[in-house]
Amino acid sequence: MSGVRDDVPQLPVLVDAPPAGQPSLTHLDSPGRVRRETLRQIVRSKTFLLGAVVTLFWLVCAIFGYWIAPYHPIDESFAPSYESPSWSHPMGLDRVGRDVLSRVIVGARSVIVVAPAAMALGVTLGSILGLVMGYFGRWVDNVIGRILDAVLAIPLIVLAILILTALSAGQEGINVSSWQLIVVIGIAFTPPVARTVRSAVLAERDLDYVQAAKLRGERAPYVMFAEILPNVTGPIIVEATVRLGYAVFTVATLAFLSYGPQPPSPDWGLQIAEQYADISLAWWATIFPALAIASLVVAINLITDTVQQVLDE
Amino acid sequence: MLRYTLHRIALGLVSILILTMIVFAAAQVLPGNPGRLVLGREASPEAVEKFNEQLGYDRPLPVRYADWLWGAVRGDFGANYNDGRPVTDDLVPALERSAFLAFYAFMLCVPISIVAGAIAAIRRGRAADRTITIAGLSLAVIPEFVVGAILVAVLGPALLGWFPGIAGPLIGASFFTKLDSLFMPALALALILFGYIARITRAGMIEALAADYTRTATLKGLPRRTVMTRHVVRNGVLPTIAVVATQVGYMFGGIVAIEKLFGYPGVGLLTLTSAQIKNFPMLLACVLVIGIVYFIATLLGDLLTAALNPRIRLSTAQ
Amino acid sequence: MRYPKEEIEKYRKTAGELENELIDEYRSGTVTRRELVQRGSVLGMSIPFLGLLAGVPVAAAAPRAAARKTAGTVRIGHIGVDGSLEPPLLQSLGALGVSHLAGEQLLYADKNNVLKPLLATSWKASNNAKTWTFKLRQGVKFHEGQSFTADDVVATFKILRSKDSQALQAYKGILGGVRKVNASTVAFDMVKPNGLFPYLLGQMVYQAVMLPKTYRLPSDISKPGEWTSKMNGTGPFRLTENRGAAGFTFEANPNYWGGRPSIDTVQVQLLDDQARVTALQSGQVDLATQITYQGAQQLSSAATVLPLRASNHRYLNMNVTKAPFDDPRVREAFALALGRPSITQGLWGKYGEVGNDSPMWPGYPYTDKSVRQRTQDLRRARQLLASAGQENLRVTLTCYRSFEMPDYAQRVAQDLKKIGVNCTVKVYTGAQYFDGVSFGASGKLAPWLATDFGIVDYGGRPVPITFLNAALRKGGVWNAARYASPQFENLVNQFYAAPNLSGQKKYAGAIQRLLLKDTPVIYAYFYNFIAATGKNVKGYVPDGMGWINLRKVTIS
Repeated sequence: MSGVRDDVPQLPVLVDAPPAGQPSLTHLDSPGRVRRETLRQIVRSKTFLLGAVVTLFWLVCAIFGYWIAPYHPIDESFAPSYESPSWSHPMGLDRVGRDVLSRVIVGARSVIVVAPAAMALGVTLGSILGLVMGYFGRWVDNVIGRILDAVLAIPLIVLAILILTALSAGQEGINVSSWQLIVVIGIAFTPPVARTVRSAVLAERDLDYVQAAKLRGERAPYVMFAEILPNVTGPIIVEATVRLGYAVFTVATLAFLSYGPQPPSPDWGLQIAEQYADISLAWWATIFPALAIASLVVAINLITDTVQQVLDE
Repeated sequence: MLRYTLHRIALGLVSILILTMIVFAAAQVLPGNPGRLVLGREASPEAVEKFNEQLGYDRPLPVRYADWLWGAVRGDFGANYNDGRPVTDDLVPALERSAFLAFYAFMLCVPISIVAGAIAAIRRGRAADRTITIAGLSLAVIPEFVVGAILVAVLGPALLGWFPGIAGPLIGASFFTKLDSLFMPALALALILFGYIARITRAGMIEALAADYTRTATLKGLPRRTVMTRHVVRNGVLPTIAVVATQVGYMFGGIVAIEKLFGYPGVGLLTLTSAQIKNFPMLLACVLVIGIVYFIATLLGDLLTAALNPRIRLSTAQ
Repeated sequence: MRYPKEEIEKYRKTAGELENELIDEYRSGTVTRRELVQRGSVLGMSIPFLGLLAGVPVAAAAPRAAARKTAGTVRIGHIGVDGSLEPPLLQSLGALGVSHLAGEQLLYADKNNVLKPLLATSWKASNNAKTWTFKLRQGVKFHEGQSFTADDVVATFKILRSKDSQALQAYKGILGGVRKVNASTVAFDMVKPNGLFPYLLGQMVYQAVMLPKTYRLPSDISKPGEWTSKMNGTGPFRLTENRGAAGFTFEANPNYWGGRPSIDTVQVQLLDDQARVTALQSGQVDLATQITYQGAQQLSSAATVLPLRASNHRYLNMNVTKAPFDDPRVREAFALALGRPSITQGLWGKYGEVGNDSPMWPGYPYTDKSVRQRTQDLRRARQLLASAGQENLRVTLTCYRSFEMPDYAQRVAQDLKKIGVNCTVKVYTGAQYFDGVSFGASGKLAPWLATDFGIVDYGGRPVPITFLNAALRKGGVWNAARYASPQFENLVNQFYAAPNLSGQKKYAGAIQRLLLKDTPVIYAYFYNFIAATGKNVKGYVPDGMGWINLRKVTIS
């Protein structure tokens, strides 16, 4: 399901199913070997390598941005206003005369801090909920399912806006901290993750090992987390990589909608929001942060795609 | 089929009801100070308090919820905080604008992606397939406003100057001006759905290509072209259309960023601005309307899919 | 220079002291021709007569409709309408633009700050500018047919000076009372002599639209009143449709006292900053108000850009009652840190002029241009901070998202960094920044006033009364700097009471020097008000307050 918009609750079968009748390797080998083999397959893939290199590049920028950037992204102005790209400023100067290259490099940080944490939270909450729904079934599944449906009906961005606005109710204006972004995006990711995990759990629920554990008199939490969870890690890992891409997508979009870092932050989405109106005067101030966002999400998606293909086989 | 339909509608209604509760609850903490917002910076605190009282903030929560819900059912979402005019005065034109944009985007997107998906399926595993799949996948994950900004940088006033980079409300604009001004936002939305729809078409086509009826038709010695149009396209494309319907709902949410980028005051932008100024009745109405549009679209899509595919119909209805 | 002596001497015999003094000043060369016309217009001297004095023909007084050559519709891209449209309750320039299409004031200030008659035909000061008497135009009718008389003026000012009026502050301490002298004459009594009062009847106090005596404010002032749906004024256009955020439509008033305007229909659309520019570029509107610098650059070829040199500026206050800004050395150091030419150039380009930390805009006739311009001096600034013991200062600068203000805040933060001050920028939305009350009212103070270090915008005014009274005087409703200086109070009173231009110059100069010394507020730049029209629009003159005067406009 990579690359597919998540707001769709039930998708018809879309992905090419593996040809029937070919037993997959997984059942024949020891878990350790399978894991190593899977990893090797992933790492050997060219698309994975490309994605990993680009992602790593932005990760380095996020951590060491201030050392790498040729100029200070906030404190230094080199002209009264816009200037087109030149040798000393290959991406030009922005509206306040700052170096766009330096701002694009340092701007990686705000996205890369929030997105993985939000993904982790969403996957954790979603997995728990999915396990509960799948394991207990019946009315538990139904009640939670209806609530998730309702939440899923609000597009992700709208839902985030609603919660973030509600969170700054008592304050002047809308102040969004990184913590709030992580929590809100994490919560917004819970329903789709829960759905995926639930269907994986449904497939496991009636298998022998689960029945055996139940007969042994194991308690529900133990069955869910110690017995079923290890057997649904595949879908959860795929879901995690998919969510990571969406987290970057969501954080960047919210920053663009001014639910995120505030000026003079060099955040990519914010840079676009601030300078897009002047695109006919200074295309460079908009297009470079835009390309930065695009390269990061596409890179993560390449990784996702490889992981998914390999795990599906 | 009837039973399945009723079942789905009932479930949808329950979800919508839960949706209204969630939205209403979230909005309860929202209003900073509606009275101040309306009465301006020099109004007296007594006047502000009186105003807030008139809005009914002194009544218990369930009463207010019931009141609001009953109003909403009759299409009355109350008065907005800005100027006291009914919410629907602004909501309806905004909805019309968004609908126009979404429809435009579909008109651009559906034909291109179905053709591309079909090509990818027929040329499965070759360069064309890989290009279409990778391009589609990448476009689908890039945020709309980024696609929009890059498109404008190239096709817009900065370089080629073919299309404007800002649409504005387009009041009283001719149909042609609308098409021209909205081409860029519509294209940005279309490109994002492109990968998705192309992928579904491709999968549907591949299934159809491998199906028994295709093999039979080919073995019968029918010309390849006839097999393609009569069997493969029909069986491969119909499910796509069903899935496309579910994307209407997505469109209505995904246009928040696009409408902001292009300054086009549809429901998305209205949601954003009413959230930012904490205009509670307007925000509530926007989110609710987006949710309902989403449900209806999904419902239609699912019903269509079920009608085409008896397996789903039977398994879900039990 | 030669004067048609006889006529002038005849006038001088009947004229008052103030008028005679002005003529003497002009003859002795202390007043320029431009200043003569401006100042003379305030005193109610007729424009043709001033032309005679100055030795040049000056345009005729009343704004006559252009000869009716062309007809058509003007589509206006206008800024958003915030708050009420009822004239006494107006509080946004967006609402002003709309309501003033149908309503009119007694007079208006043209782009050179020369006062021109509208519903008043002439005015005169007496008793050393303690009373101002206005003659009203005869034969004027409201859109619904009532005749306009002195009773309407008195009734309108009664509402304007009532508790709910947004004009209350503007007249407080200045206007003592309004009397009907006869059906066509009204007298305004001042609290203290005031030589600039007539300006307070023009766009500067844009709430003062003349309303029929039957007009009542809505009982709940948050609700639309009778004006919002009917706009029964005397203006050249009649409201035909109010669609709220979706816009307004007006039609020509066939009975307009100045003749039926040549424009048949006016359509007003409310558009964002960038949308106004794009709409003009693509021909969806014919006229756009309030264009940003970047907008003006984009429009340079597609439209006629009409900059109006005006006293528009940004007020950057420091709270003088609170550390670290209670130390004048810190305030001076901050002011010295700014690279004004670069800031002005970057934010407004050729549409900006550097400010000198006082609201005395160089375009005012009384502004003393010999006061030394403050320039960037980082070394001195660092020394001042060191001597104040504030070397590792952290401050937060607030502003709101409108025009170039967030950029300005970031430039200020950069320059402060150069003198070792760590400055964080906090950007509000407009609705947030203005959510609250002004000084003097009870309730939560609005963030733009509560801030200790903040930026806010001031629209251009033909005279600096608002800039001094509201923004700098002790107890001023918008005095975010909390500046309170007895010396300043004294100088401002003397400035207002000064009977002639040389007196005004003297006190203006003293005010400028005092503000440079105290620096409660940084005035880094003034900028032009920019409007733009399509190439098909002729005769439009922009107005610094956003008033849309279409009386002489034609469209092809």
